[in-house]
Amino acid sequence: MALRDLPPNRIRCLITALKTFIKGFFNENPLSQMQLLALTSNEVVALTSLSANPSYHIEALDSGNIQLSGECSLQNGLKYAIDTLAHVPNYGIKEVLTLMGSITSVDSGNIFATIKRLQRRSIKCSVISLSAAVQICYTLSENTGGEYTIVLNANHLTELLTNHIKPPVINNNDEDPVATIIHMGFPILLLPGEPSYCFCHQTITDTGYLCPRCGSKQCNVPGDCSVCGLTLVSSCDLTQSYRHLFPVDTYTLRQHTENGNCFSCASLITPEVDYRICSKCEKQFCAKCDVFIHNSLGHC
Amino acid sequence: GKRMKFLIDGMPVYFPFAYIYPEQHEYMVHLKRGLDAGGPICLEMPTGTGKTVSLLSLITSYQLANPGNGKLVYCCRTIGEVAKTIEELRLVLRYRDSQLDFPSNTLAISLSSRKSLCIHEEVSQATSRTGVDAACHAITAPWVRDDPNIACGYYTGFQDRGKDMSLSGIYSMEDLMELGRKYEVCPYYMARYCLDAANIVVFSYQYIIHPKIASVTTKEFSKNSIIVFDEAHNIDNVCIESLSVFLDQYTIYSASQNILSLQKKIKDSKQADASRLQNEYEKLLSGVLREKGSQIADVLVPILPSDIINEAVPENIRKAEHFMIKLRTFLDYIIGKMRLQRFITSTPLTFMDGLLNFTDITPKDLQFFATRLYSLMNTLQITDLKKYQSITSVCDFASYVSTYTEGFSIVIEPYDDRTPDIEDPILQFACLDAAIAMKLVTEKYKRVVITSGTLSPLDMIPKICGFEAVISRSLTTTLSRQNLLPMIISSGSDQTLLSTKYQDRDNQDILRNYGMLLLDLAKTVPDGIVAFFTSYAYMETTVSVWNEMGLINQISKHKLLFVETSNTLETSVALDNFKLACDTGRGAIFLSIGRGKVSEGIDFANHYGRCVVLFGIPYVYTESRVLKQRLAYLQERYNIRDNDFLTFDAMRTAAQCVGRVIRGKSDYGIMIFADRRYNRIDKREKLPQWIKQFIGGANSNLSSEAALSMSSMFLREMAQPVTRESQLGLSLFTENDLENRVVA
Repeated sequence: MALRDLPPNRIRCLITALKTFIKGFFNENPLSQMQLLALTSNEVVALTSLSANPSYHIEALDSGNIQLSGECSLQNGLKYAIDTLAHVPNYGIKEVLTLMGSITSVDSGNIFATIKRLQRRSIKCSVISLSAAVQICYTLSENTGGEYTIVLNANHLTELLTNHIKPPVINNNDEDPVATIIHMGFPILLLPGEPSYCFCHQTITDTGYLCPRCGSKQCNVPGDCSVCGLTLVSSCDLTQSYRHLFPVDTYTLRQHTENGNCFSCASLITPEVDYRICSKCEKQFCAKCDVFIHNSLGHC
Repeated sequence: GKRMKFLIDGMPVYFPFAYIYPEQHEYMVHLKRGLDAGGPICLEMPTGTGKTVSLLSLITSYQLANPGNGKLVYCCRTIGEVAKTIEELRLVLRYRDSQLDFPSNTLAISLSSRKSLCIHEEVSQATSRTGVDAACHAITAPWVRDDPNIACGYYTGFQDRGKDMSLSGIYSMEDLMELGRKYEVCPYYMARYCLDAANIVVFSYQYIIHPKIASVTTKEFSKNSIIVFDEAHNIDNVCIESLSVFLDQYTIYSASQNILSLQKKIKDSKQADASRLQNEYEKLLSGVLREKGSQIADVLVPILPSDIINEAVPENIRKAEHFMIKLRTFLDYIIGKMRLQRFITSTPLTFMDGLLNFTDITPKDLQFFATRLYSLMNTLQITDLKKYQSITSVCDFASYVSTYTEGFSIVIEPYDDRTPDIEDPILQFACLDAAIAMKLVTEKYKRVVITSGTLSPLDMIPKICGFEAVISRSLTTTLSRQNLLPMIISSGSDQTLLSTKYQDRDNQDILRNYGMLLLDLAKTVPDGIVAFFTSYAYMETTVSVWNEMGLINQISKHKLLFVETSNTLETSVALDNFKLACDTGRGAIFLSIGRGKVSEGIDFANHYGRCVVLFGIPYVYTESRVLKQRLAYLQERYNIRDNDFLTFDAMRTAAQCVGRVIRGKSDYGIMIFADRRYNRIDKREKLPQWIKQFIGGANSNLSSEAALSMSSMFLREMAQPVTRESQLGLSLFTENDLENRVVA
């Protein structure tokens, strides 16, 4: 990983790209959690534990004591990931993204069995290679529904990482019935002015969020209430995640015979321009609103 | 899905795919023109571009357009290739016949040895080819055929029912065996029986090239048949080997035992049934050499010019006992020669002169040795052919040496050059002229297609095989991206010039640099790497030197190492594990020999071979006496200089080696020629066009560092996804694209 083919060297380049990725990831998936693992000298080092806090991960990357050298074992890394993800409830999307610098994976066991386990637990594994295409990564990604890509240069690395930020669309057809109802609470934001006791840091702080179930104060959302364990989310976070999981269906193009109005912005739609129609609500939209709804709003 | 039908010079061609590569089209055009011109054709096209399917689809369409055109005889090198070809043929014919308004009634048959076709419960259990042949002969020989207790049920079934079954359709070896089990007929004899009636025949080279085998299997094939030799880059060697005889100490010893046991059998037979030998004697007297109707002969007799075959067997070997005495004298003469402790090379004429001086055996007697033995073994009703193989070889030698005076050489070596202390005499009757066997084919059939991925330089094969090609072309692939990266590395990381020249063989600097190169490659190239050495001996020294330098340890941190050995079984186990290591991401290097089994028959498709590296130029072992004889003959007869032939031979081997890694258009690989001598124009020019086109100034005369950084860039680029759209119209054509295409 000390090679200089990605300037200044692979580790530095990777850390820079990863920091952007982490910020982007939590921005788009505020309800998700992440753990960073390092495969080095034939062992798996957990750089962070499973957490939803981007600054925690970024700090770990910045700490400067990341060693990436010696042989790596893809199988060990995947096994570790399986163990970590074992506690994630079924409704969650489980993904492993591997950034491979090495072109060799020295495993002690049968990696194909591990791939089968990943398949059974529907853990999606993607790999980004920093040097060249390795067959086992194709096997891994193809069997688990992930993607395998190879980096050309530093900019390409950022681009490939960005492609992994957006979560996959949930397929409504094979919905898991267990996952239909999840306990969640929308906490109440306390405005600064009246210091009170914070249960997560166990000190007196100025602001925070009140758990709607037990009334204790937490510092950060999203997260679990440290007293009653309720998942606390803000409604904005929920929508943000929701729009990726259940994207708005693509509108169909139509040609008008007479004038009409856009349902969203009420602008005039003349017969010369195309308009779009939503298959669910059957309302008409103009081109601008179509882009806005699909790319930014995420809600019809 | 959609398929294609298009015209080539007005002839409709049925092609079973929706897309065609431009070079496939070009290939078919040249093939069609060559067939029209009615002569031998030499076509070179890289592997993995659908050569077989183009060939089959053009020739089957050609047969359709020109009825009365004889068979398509497709010759492959291995059984695996026969099976693959039949499957492609199925695809081609299914589409062609679906487009016809009338049934085509095509019969396509594949043929192989008894070993791979036998379905008899016990016979098929034998492990070797000769073992199966012998066991089969024991229950199908003419004198046991009618005995229901001994005779093979499947053979009887073939005699009773098989001959009346009029087959049509396509029969792979599996199909034949299934048919055999279903109707209880022998698949092997069925296949041989059907050869004459078949429109398409797929089998190995031997059935056409080997004069001895051809005389019984393919004699009746019509003269306007189309003969295709696939992977024919070594066809000259196949021709030569088919007429060469190799006798070693073991053969001589067991031949001598054979004579003893034959003499005993003659004696026994005289007591039991004297009339049998008497009958034979009379038959020989009247000149009936082969029994009429024994069209499917079981013992193969060397082909002799027809004027000889019609003569009666000379008087002094007509009697079985006399023949045995002559044979013993002949064998003793050979043994005496082999025990002389001297290297002897002589021509057939001088050999027979000497023979006539010391014994009373005339060349005329010798000519009939093989047929006489065949007759005797039939008379004595000998079934265990395997046991008498040695004496058969000796008689073959006798017949060849007295029949062919030109283009052959007798080489006797008392010991191996590498182990002069161990007495191990061998006698080789070496054919020096590939044209002798090849002419039997090209003069009979005319329309012979020689094709391979590596035929360059195109004028060499026709020259040494004694024919003139009406069309010879080297086609290159059209690619939307350059999927192979050939590089000539002339210096190592410390600027040591790399070479495996004889003087440099033990140069530690060179060996270290080769090792460093392999180590760096192991770090750069993912999955499989194949490395070729020029010889086993060179590989052994190199690997042990690397081990002393600690390089082997370092390399094995990145990739596992596997080695080709002269043991086939060992090598195939090594190959399996090599592939497993590539599949699991551990990565592996296969160390093999430039002229070994791996370099010819094993494919390293996709990730099994991302890089191939040639350490040195794979010249043939030049100290071989047989080779020296051949070189002298080529110089004298065809005016080909030693060096030209050796370089040609080395470069075709090199091309075969590096060609192992590119097995299709989606495949990609690096080819490294690690020897500075490759830079010379006489070497480079002899590479096939599809490799040569990528060797420019930027890829030749490189240092290993430069080569490695190019490799790493190349690997990244090749790993990017490709789409079909980017290839359409450029390297992938549809029916419409072909309409206005003109091939020069």
